[in-house]
Amino acid sequence: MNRRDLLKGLAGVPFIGAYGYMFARKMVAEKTEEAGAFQKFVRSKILPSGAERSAQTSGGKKVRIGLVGFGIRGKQLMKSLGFMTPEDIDRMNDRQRKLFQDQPDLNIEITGVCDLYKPRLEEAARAGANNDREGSASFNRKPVKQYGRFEDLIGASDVDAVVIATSDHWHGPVAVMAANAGKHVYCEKALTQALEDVFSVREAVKNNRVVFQLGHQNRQAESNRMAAKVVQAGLLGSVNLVETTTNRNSPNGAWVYDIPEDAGPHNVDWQRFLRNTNTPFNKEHFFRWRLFWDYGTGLNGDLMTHEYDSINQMLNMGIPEIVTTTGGVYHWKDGREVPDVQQTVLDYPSRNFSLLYSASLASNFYRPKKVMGDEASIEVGATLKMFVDSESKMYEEYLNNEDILPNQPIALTQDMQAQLDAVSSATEKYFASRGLLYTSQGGRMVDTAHLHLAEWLHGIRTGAAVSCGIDEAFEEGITAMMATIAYREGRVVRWDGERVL
Amino acid sequence: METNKNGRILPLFILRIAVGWLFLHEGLYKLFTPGWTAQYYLAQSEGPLQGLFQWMISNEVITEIANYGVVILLIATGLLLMTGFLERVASAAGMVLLVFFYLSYPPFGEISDVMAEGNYLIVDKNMIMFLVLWVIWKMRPGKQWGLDRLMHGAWGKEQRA
Ligand SMILES: NC(=O)c1ccc[n+]([C@@H]2O[C@H](COP(=O)([O-])OP(=O)(O)OC[C@H]3O[C@@H](n4cnc5c(N)ncnc54)[C@H](O)[C@@H]3O)[C@@H](O)[C@H]2O)c1
Repeated sequence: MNRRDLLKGLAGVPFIGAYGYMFARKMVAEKTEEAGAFQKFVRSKILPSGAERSAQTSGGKKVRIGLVGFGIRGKQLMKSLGFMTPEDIDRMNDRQRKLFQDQPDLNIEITGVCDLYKPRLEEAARAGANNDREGSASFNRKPVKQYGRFEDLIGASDVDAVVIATSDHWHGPVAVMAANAGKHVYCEKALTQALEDVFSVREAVKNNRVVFQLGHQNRQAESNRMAAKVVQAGLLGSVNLVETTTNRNSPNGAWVYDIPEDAGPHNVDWQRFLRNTNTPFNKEHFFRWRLFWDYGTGLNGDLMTHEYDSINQMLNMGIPEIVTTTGGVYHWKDGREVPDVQQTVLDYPSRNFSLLYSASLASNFYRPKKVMGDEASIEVGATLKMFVDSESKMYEEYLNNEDILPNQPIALTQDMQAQLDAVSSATEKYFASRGLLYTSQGGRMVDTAHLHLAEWLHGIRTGAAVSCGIDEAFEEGITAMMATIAYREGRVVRWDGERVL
Repeated sequence: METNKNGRILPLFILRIAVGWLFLHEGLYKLFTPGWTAQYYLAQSEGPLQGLFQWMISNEVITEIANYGVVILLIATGLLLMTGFLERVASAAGMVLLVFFYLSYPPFGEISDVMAEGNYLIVDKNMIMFLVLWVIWKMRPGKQWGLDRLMHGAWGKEQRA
């Protein structure tokens, strides 16, 4: 081997040296940039919330739960509680099954289920019995108790707590009766479909000191929690305008749900579905109740409540002083009563800010929530982005140093909802973008409703506070009803601190 | 004669260094990015390997193996190509990786390609790099410029002696 061999043999080595030098320089540069003064400032104000989520106990006796309403949502809540029919477990793909099997055990038992549609009632009873999350190959348990009347389920001595997922018009009566029987309540949003119910639910819950949680699982989403911190730390300056939205564009997103062929008076308890009305049997009303005022409140109760509650989570602003709602049935001319395009303005003159809710069920153009302050704004979607205002005083120094660029997005969270393969339909994607399906915890994907239910159960076991308790629920209920009244009566609706005027 | 050969080898040598550089940097960058995982890349893939990838990410151990595997392969391939050591092994390994990358997001004119950073139809950067590695595999510039020369030189001389 001669000198020339050696030189040529090692010809690549200097390039590796050059590369190594440049890579090291780049790394050092990025390190210093990463911990820029602006980031340091923001971080000093907010800490990642994962760490402080209190460790939840699920020890002790099993909490015995009765479920009222096993439709679309009731089924999802059962899954979030850890219960599915063996057939549904068979149907999941590996990934979904793993997500479900990994969901922590809540140390509960389903001791009764109630529904007005026979096939669903039977299905619920099979799901409730599946304690070990088994597929149909190994499952051979007796279905749990089935109730045709929620009064009987509530009265049962083996039910400690009730989960309510009926159509909106029954939330109030079921919740009141459960609270009066001393049973804890997890109630789906919207709190109610009638104004009086908002007051009576609050009274019953407070008088009986039961643990009440309203089904706004957005409270558990990382991007919402972080947004609340950012706002509460004053990082936006004074918030003067909030814009929230709903955009969907599909029959499913517009609540045109399938009506089962076999459904009829023989297996639907229509009389018990009606509350104060006398309508003859109508399948469409039963399965698409969201379209009619007798059972629901349209966008107000169904989707605005989620938006409202997530802003209430950030700003704690409570009930608006002035509410207006306009809109109409502009696209889905299918006989529905509730509007499909709607703008609601919630005004808070004494807090110097307005909240705009703007919705279309005939366009799925994506509009994330925007919370606007005089120093900075945030955009809350599956991830949380902050935009520093070019006129900001608080951040002037950072702007001048070009530490940050005005009105350019700065990502504050990296949520895992981008990873949407476990969920599929357009409506689900809409929900995921609002933080209503999954969130990340320690780098893992977690179902937010599971966390929300776990928080409720933790409250039952230890007396710890829940994040969407009766006070928050009352605010949600009154606000949604004000928006409904404003639309239906075509007028400005006010809150005087005690009553809706 | 020798100069002539040098002139022919030089571009190939530089090409090999450049591709090695790309591989090495991809690998090191991933290694130094906290929390980097192939999971998202695999999850979003819509190509013919979708089924395989979904299966891979459904298993934690396999996802971990994929994460380390990609990083180690990238770095090793990069270093070998730059030094010109075992360049045929390195080119082959690189080609296999590139086939995977290509098929994960095949540029077949789907609408989702608008997210790519350039405009491609069938031929993309992965394919070009694949072809480069094929040329290197064939022409073996490392026998002249690279550690392979020392190996071959040593053997060659022994055998001739
Ligand atoms: N938090 C969320 O993200 C979320 C999502 C979807 C729905 N929801 C809420 O969940 C509730 C249910 O919605 P859904 O889509 O499941 O409706 P659905 O029509 O699919 O199911 C409602 C079920 O309740 C039953 N029911 C109605 N009145 C009853 C009564 N008096 N006694 C016993 N059972 C009764 C019906 O038989 C039906 O099966 C609604 O209030 C809705 O707002 C919340």
